[in-house]
Amino acid sequence: MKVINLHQEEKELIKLAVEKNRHAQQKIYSKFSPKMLGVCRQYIKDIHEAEDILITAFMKVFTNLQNFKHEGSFEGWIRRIMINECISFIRVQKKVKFIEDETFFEERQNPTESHFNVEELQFLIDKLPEGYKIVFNLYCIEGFKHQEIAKMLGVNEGTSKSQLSHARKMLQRQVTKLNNYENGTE
Amino acid sequence: MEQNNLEEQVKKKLGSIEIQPSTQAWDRLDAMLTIAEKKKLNQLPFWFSLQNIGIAASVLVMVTLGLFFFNHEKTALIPINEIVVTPKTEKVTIKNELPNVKDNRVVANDSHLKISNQKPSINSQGVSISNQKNNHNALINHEKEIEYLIGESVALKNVPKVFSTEPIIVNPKKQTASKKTTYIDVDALLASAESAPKAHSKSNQIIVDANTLLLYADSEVETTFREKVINGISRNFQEVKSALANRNQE
Repeated sequence: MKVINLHQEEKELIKLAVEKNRHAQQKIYSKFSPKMLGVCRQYIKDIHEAEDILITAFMKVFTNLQNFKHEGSFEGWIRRIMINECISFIRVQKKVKFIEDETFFEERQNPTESHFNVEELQFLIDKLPEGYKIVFNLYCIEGFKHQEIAKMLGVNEGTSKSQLSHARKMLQRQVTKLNNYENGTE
Repeated sequence: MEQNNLEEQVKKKLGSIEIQPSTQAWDRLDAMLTIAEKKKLNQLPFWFSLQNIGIAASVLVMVTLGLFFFNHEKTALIPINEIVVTPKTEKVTIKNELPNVKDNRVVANDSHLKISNQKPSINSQGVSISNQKNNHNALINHEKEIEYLIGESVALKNVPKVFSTEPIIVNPKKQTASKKTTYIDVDALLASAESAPKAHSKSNQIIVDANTLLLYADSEVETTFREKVINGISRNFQEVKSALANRNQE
């Protein structure tokens, strides 16, 4: 009952926001902006730039709200807009180009257990080049398949796979480096 | 597997991360939304003022021209609006009225008059029929029928009319000369002379069809009303246009 009520409430809120009700818009923003800024932060290292992207993406959310058909989750719809906005920002501002490279390999790693906190994980991800980072985030965090990633980025499926492979390899090196640093061996 | 372990950790920890945006973020978004809404509101009348006014004006001109030509054609082609005065053709029949012609036969049919006469002179009345060479031809003249258009113009129509005969010449000198040859009854001749002007006077009667007159008047009223309406619309349109232009300039 509670879930149905929440869903109904969200629907009403969306309806009001479509009619340019500023209070409803602010409610939607307040509800989703912390999560969405977290999403933006995965792609963009600078928090101010990430916030700019958040605002621009929310503008798109509110101007295209009438196109939301209530078929999927509203949060997923907003999340997709955020990701697309981040990708286009990186492509335009950072001038990232995906070079078609389909030479990828599956590397086997030693099963050493290591636990990282959020800051450490964020540090590791931030160290990745933009191209690798985008593909890694889309694949590991968002759960997209290579076919979907390839479509989103306008590249071949093989390129997506190779980018992920390179990202993993680089992350492995970073983890090893970090472990060595923590253990005092480096 | 460390790789999988790392990816799982990334998904779990970074996937659900929440970062509170700055307090200015909403203010900025609010300002952007307000500007966008104002722009949209301003853009609509501007768009209307430039493009739609042009389209509306052209459509108005087309409709006006269409109405004008439609009405013009209507008045030109449909004879309902005309009042036609037609003098009725008078068929002269002399045959029955001139029974006592001696040796001469004056025959008049419905459409034409045949005079077969070798000696054309008529008795003491002194009326002689000349131009005997053309006697056997049907004497059909085209008299111009005058159509009176109310207050506008006079149209002429060629209407075939059976003309009486060749010019009748009254020749008192020949009267004596032809005494011997032909004799026509005086009464009959008088009767024929009387009947001719009567018929002619009948033909001059103006026949006015009330329905056509009413229709014509209605159509005229309709056109004037249309003109008034169109003028009113164009005046209002100009006022709106100027008001919009002023508003846009502001």
